[in-house]
Amino acid sequence: MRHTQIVILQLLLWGLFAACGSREAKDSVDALPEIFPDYVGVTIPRNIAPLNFRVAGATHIEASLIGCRGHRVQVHGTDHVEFPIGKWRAMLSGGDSIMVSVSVWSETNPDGIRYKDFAIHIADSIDPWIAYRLIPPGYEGWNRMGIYQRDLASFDVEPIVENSQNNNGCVNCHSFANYDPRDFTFHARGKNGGTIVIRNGQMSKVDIKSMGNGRHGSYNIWHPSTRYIAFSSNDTHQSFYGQSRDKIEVYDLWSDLIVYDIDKGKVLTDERFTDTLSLEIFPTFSPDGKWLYFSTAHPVRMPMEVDKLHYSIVRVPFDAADGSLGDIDTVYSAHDRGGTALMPRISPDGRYMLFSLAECGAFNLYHNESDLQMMDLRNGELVNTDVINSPRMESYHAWSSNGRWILYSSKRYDGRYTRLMFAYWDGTRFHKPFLLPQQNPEDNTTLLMAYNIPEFIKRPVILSRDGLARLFRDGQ
Amino acid sequence: MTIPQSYLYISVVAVAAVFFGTYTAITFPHSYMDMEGNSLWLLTWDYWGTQLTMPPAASQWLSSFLCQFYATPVVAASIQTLLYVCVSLMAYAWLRRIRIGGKWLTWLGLLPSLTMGLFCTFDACVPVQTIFLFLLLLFYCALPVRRVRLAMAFVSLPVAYMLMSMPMIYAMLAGMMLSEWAVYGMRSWWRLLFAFPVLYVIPMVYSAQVAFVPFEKRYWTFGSYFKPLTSRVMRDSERFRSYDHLAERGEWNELLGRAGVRRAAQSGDGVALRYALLAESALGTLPDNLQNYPIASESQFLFQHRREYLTTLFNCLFYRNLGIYDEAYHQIQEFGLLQQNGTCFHSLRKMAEYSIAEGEWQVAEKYLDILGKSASHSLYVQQQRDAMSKAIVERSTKPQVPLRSNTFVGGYELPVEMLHLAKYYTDPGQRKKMLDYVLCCYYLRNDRRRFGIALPLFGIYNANSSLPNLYGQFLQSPPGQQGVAGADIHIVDKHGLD
Repeated sequence: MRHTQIVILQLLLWGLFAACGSREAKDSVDALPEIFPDYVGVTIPRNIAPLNFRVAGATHIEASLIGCRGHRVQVHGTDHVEFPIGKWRAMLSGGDSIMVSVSVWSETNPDGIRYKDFAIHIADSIDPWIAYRLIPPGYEGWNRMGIYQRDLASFDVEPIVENSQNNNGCVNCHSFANYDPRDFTFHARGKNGGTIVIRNGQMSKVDIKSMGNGRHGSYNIWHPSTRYIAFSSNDTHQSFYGQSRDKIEVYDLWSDLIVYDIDKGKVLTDERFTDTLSLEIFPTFSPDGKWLYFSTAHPVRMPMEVDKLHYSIVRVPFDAADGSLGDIDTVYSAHDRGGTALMPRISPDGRYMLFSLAECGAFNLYHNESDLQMMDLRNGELVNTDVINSPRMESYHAWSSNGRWILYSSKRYDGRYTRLMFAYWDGTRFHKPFLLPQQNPEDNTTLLMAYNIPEFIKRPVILSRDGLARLFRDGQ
Repeated sequence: MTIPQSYLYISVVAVAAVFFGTYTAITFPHSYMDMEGNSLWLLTWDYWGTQLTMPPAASQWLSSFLCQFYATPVVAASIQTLLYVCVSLMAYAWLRRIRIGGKWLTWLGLLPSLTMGLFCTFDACVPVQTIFLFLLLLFYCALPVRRVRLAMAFVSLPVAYMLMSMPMIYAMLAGMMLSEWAVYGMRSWWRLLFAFPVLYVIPMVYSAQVAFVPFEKRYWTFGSYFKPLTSRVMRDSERFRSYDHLAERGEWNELLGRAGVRRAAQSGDGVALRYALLAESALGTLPDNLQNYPIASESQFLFQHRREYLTTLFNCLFYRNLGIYDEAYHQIQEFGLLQQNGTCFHSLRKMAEYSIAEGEWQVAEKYLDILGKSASHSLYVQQQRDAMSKAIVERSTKPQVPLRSNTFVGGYELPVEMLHLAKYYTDPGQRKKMLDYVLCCYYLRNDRRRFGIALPLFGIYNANSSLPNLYGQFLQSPPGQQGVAGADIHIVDKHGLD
């Protein structure tokens, strides 16, 4: 009798767990599931965190991953699913693609519907970390912001620097040399602010403006030798539209180019790029360090004449021996080809230039029509980038160190909050991009901050928080 | 028959509570409502992460949870009073436990609540911290074994760091030493002094490993500002809040009349003046009543280029009145950024509503999703979703908003800004309000020439038909100053000569 009772109890418990666990959908449909984020048919790196997703209105979801060798991982959840990291990694290491099967139960389909299976393609690995700024999107003020780093193989996020460390000022414009956090820089604005330069892991605060030419530094890029940092120096303003889909216009009343020689501790200028006859912005070096690319335009009356402001991308030879700049070569002429071309970034193999193109203006982050374009530098032809763009803003982009992945900002989801997208470049075309995965996909919606200036790095930044804060307090 | 002192104490607390709750609910209802509007509590990892990593973590979290229910002043006053009652009773219990001096000294248990109630009335975090303080002290006193008590004292330090601000932790340590001496007669109470150096290390380690606490806030933070409840500052603050709430609800006549805005404006109050003029604009009576107010310049219509608590709230309403929801959104987002969490319920609600008004469904849905994660917004979220469904249908019949309108807010002088904006709004009511601001600005400048050019714009006013007295009189007055430098005559002429 006692044994029977135990068996019955076990059966009841098993039934209870089974009821809470896996189920089988009664119906099936030949349609793809509407999952968020849209990971259907995307190409992902081998070392990315699980692509957890949710289904709007779902009360129960069953999802299976089926690998090339028939290996299967089954998960379930209420409105979203989370794949165990260990099993996910094992699945990705085993082949070139995985099939995903999704069944959804909801109020309208209480017996469950099984959707058409879809593939996720697996490609080359990606740099293991990214760094980005999180800031409330747009307008004038901020409260909490910081530069953070995320481990792409998991969901770990750590702060690199937060503005609680610099008297609630602004921290921005971070850049890394050769994807290595031992050499990186960022600006800290506000009380006791300055340009923070970390070189070979040593921190220092630099006052660029006091180095003879009276120019501060804004957008910046390291030379691959790590001896130089090119800055644009900008007088940036913003105006707020009264009635339009674009909300803000950001522009420079003047902007110049300067180069900071770290070894000599001095700022180099070229009078062609420090006058008021033209605006220069968004410098970037070619991977071999021989060229300095940047956007340039003739100034117009801003903001009223914003539709007349068109930046072209040019390049000048850069002499790493003394930091001098050569003759200007136009790479993308806005006059000939139209639009405004900003933020050039050269692929690690030196062949392609990825840039942001909009109708006009100086700051594409606030232009809905802004798209990413890519030029083959051998012949000046534009590569088809339709798959990575959307009807809303795409901008700020970075190449991975192996030249196979790009990371960029997009406002495709709601038009106000930038989110980070990855896309695979196989050497001939881009593949369908995917959103930075989150442990709970709902975090993409609930986060009230925008991602800014995403960059790949090969390993995490390690800085002493107190040491950094002391730089802002004491300058040492 | 003698009444036990405890009964007497409880009676006094009860009477004081009723008095305090009633008084504050009647006299400061809007201050309570603002506690809800300015707070934020969400069931999201992002929110919990930021709340629970920065001292006084759990107290802040709990007080924010309570503030969700402060939208109704009676409920708010009841909860706030209840917190003070708890503090009074727990303080009394501890003082009785340590039995220092005569039993009359236990009446000192009223002191914390009295201080908080009078000097930081509209802060729920401080009483919550104080409750935790006395809880820990009572628990400490209840431990009979000395070693256990000492261990508890040291263990409680990192825990207390997540419950209280540093001054309260110092008070807790002092309370433990007092308890050690008074209750257990221990002469080794001084050993607890060794806990003070530990209090130096905890914030340092915490800042390095968990969340960075700025240097100046590590060892001495106050939970709230101290302003006496009966002070003029508090009364003014309540008054301004009442203006804001009435304007928010569109109760313009109430605002002008019963709230006394008109009277206050006429006596020179700059904030009241702006609300009064806003109410007149909303009622369409701005030109009729402008002369009743001591307005000297157009800068008194709003708070241009100012980004503060009061100014962003007002500017939001100013632009909302004109139907310029993009700018209303801008202002209310700036307001939210000024709050402790970088946003707040009031800001999120308004951003959702203005996004719906502007046809930005996805971002409106985002804010509604977030508000749905609080404990108090399920009905509001449902109502807004219903409103959004209707708005989607209506919006499909309207022309699409241009990508860039070539007109900017805050970039021009007010009359020029209003003229630029009026080009894009076809609703006659909106245009009239904007044109009234234009005309009133030129009136204030005594610029009859530009006034005359702007008057017939958009076909709203005709010099030959009935005009508001102000306009008619100004047109007929002798020619005055021809205009001040800086006004963009080009834009006005373009409209006037077409």
